[in-house]
Amino acid sequence: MTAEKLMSLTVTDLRALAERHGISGHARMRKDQLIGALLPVIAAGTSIPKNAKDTAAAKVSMPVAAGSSSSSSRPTPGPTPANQPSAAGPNPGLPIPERYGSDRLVLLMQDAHHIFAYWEITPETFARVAAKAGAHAAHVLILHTPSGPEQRDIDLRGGNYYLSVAPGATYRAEISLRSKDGVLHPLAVSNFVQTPQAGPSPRSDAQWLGIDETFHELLAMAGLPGHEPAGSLTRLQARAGESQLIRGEAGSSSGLSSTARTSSLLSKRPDG
Amino acid sequence: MPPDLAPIGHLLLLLHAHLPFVRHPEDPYFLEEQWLVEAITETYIPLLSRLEHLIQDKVHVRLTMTWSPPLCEMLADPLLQARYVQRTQRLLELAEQEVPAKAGTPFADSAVMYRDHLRYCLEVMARFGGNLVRWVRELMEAGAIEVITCTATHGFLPLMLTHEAKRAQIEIAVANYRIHFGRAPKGIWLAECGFTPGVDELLKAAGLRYFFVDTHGIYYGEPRPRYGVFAPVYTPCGVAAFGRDADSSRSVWSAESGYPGDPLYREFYRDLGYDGEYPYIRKFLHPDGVRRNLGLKYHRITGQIPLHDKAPYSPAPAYARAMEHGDHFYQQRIHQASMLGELIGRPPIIVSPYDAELFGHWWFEGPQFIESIFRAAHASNHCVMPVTGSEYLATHAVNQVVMPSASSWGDSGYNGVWLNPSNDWIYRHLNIAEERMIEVARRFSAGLATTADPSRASAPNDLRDALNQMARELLLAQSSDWAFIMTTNTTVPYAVRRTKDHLNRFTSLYDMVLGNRIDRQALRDIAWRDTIFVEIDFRVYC
Repeated sequence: MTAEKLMSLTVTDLRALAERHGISGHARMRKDQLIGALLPVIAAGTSIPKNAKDTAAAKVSMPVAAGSSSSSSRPTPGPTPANQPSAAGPNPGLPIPERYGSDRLVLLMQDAHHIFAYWEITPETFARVAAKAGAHAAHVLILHTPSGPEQRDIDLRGGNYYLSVAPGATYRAEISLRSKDGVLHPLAVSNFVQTPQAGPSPRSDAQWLGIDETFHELLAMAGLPGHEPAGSLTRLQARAGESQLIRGEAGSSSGLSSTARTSSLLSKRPDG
Repeated sequence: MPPDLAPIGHLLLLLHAHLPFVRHPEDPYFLEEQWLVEAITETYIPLLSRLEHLIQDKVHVRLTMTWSPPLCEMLADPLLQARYVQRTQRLLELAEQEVPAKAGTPFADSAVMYRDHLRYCLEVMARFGGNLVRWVRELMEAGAIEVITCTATHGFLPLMLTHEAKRAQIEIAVANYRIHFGRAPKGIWLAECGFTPGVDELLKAAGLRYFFVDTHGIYYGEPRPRYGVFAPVYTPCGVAAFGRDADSSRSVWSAESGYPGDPLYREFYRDLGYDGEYPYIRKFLHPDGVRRNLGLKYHRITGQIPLHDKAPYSPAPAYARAMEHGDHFYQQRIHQASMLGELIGRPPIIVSPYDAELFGHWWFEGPQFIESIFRAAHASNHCVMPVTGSEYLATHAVNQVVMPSASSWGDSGYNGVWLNPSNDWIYRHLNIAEERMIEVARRFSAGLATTADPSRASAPNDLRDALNQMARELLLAQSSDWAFIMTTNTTVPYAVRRTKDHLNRFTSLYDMVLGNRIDRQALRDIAWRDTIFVEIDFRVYC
């Protein structure tokens, strides 16, 4: 939730929100103070107005002491509804694996300026690589950027890391042990991840595409050689947007549909 | 009704109706199932009934709506239908007591309103055999709404690692839409507007013609969009992308106009569940006896004053105000369209998407507001014409080729709402589960398709059931609602529990499948709990 969205709420709503988030002294706060206190607590979110599920969820969560979930998920074989009253506390959920026993390093784009990295290195791999790297080897994450690799010292036990990056570029990373003499001994290599442009494209050349919904249907129904015969009713129901480029030429046809459909670039319109 | 003159612009009003799949057969009083109950009573029924009124009055209605697959699955579910009726009957009992109790007080009109509305809700349920999807379908067939789909479990595609997992979220949604609506969807609302280049190819392959992105998804597209968000663009593979108009969102929520904050409107935070004498309301609360909202609210927003000073709510003036606000909203769109038309040299399309549950549940008078937009358009001779997505594309078939930028409509515009220190732990599990699902789907699909040996007839069925159930567990774990709740810090324990439960069930099924020892009893128990998508075919992950 942004400051702007909080601004649009009444003080009463803000107080109610503050109460829900356990902000003390909210009754004495002015609107700007309430917003100031709420912003860091509500670190992110689609906003109350935009997402009423937030509110719906908040409603049921209000009586915190009672716990939000009212049943325990015991592995009793169904289908015999367990007529259980509410449990004393929230159900923590069934156990999930702590480790999966394979080496991996994964990058996920958080936003145009940040990448999240998480990893798992098995004890076997670590022992094998550590034996080569020698005692006191440093744990490093190497980020391959468009301008070359960057090394960052990390704590391998942490399991994850947020990286500051530049927009509009492709990244890959690896985790290695760096021996005393500076030699890198790789543990895991990541996927590629791309950050979006954080602003308008410098390209202003415009191409125009017309989607011809009916031509291919008519063609198919015509029963010409090389085309499946009719069955027109089901076809008409199932038809998907067949595309035909009608204006725009040459240029980057590489990105355009190259299926068996008639996609052709005919003219290119320069931007006014 | 066609306009007398060519419109100066188009209005694509979109409501995205979605709730996560919450169904707990093991507990008749499960608290979070109340989300659906409240949304049906306060949002879905009021909205659909307003649309029906508009049709009866021969007003031209064109609303684009997502009915997300989990929501359709819940609305069509007999257990949840029965629970809805049971809980609503119970609340009606209280509402009926409230009419004499509030008679002669300033709360009398509200008491009658609640009683009548709850009776109406039960009538509507009876009329559609308990299944509100049938009502949606009826309005769709009448042409008032174009129903589009959403990713299968509201999965947030940008944080999925594999092509196959993204494709499954789309293909399963399309297959489920066919079951509920008897035809193929033309458009999709990508959960949270989460888009990355390449998703458009998957949409195209699934037969979808258009989707929506947030404003910057268009403006930061490649190359620059000539008309900004005021015309759709085609991605290079020919799927149309509509961009959200930030102004129409602001005009609902801005501090200046701020429709939902009007003093006449109903106050959300005053509720009989907290205000009523405890012995009087006790039997209408959850069996644990904790005071919670009951949905009977008797006060209006009044002004920026403490909750206990709020004045009594009066339905008629609030309704009239909502009609004024809808008219104001529409007049603003006329103004906007005429300015934009001059700027870009053609009639703009203004795309205004909102979460549906906002209207009615959070903003009580919201359904009337939506209604009044169409009435205002009617009165203005549709000088800004309401259209649905596919209707617009049918008449505006030539559009610029632009690849939208990776984006979402979450705070700050990218993936941070669903990936931050409060929820980042889930991805190491979800991503592995994607890969494991693909692994077993590929490994076993061929064998299952060709097994002819009758002596092994039961084993392959168990295997198929287990693989299908694995797909359900993965999809349910991928619901972006869980990560969202962790970020907004609302019902976090429930979101954590749901994530873990589905991952746990997925993992045990994976182990069973790979170990060739399927525990039928355990499989039956899991299938009894997580019933979404009975039609699922795990081979979508191949």
